[in-house]
Amino acid sequence: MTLKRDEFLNHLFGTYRDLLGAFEPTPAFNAKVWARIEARKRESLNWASYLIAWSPRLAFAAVLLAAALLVAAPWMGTGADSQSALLDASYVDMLALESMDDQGGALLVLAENGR
Amino acid sequence: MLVETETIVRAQSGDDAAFNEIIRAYRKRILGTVYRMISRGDDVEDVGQEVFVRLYDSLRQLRTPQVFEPWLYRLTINACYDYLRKKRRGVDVRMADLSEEQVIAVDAALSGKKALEESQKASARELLGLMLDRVSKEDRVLLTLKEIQGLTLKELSLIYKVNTNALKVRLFRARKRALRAYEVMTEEARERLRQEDAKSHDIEA
Repeated sequence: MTLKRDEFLNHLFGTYRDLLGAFEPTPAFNAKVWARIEARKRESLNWASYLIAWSPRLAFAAVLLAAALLVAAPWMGTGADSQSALLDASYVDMLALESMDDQGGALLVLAENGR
Repeated sequence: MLVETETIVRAQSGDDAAFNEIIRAYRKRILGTVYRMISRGDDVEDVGQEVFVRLYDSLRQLRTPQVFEPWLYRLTINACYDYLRKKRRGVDVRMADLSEEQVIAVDAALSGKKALEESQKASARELLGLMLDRVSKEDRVLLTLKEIQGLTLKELSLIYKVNTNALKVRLFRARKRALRAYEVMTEEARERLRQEDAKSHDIEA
């Protein structure tokens, strides 16, 4: 940026600053800030009181959920085991099939060689 | 600082009278900063109030009361960023309303030869505000703090938490972009006037 353009920009900003002037707060500014703060406090208090009011029910629901999980855990475990058993079985089956193929292939090779 | 460190400490411990003292001491400065950053008088108080509400909510997080001012500036900048992000969509509509009258008003304001009428002042102010609308909000905030608010590089380095050399580079680039925005904007307005003139000549002929 040349010096001339630099000076022009300084002048531009200076002019803008002068044109803007100062901003005077309205007399109710502080009161409005406090009203907002109070409103936000009330909002968070409402949430807190809502949580407090619901806490016995929430605790009861949590206990029920935990009990349900405890009851369901063995079933879930069995399910997982059976699933893994299935997976293992299919893996073993795959190996068996492969070895059968190899044996078959070997038998085929032996048969071919014998012939 | 405009308040004693002790006042900040008291406000941190929940003393509402101390916090009220902080609002009273800083409201003019904060509103001035917000006004210069967003250049829309109607929303200044709203954004300013939001700054103080955020200050109230987060004052306890300030570990060193000595750096209260740069910290307050950061809160102000963030509130202005949020406002500018929301208002960004309206900019294109406003650009279409840019008139030659505004360019003339700025030329007159820049020459400083004669006193401007209030309407001309408003036009020039709006045009220069639109120039800042054309640069990114980051550029806008930096330029406002440095060139209009008049903060020093040292003060800015505390606010931005970067060294002054990095700030100089940022500032140089931001100034370049602002000048380019101004040139493009005024050229567009002049071109529009030329076209309107040519149209009116055609009609007369």
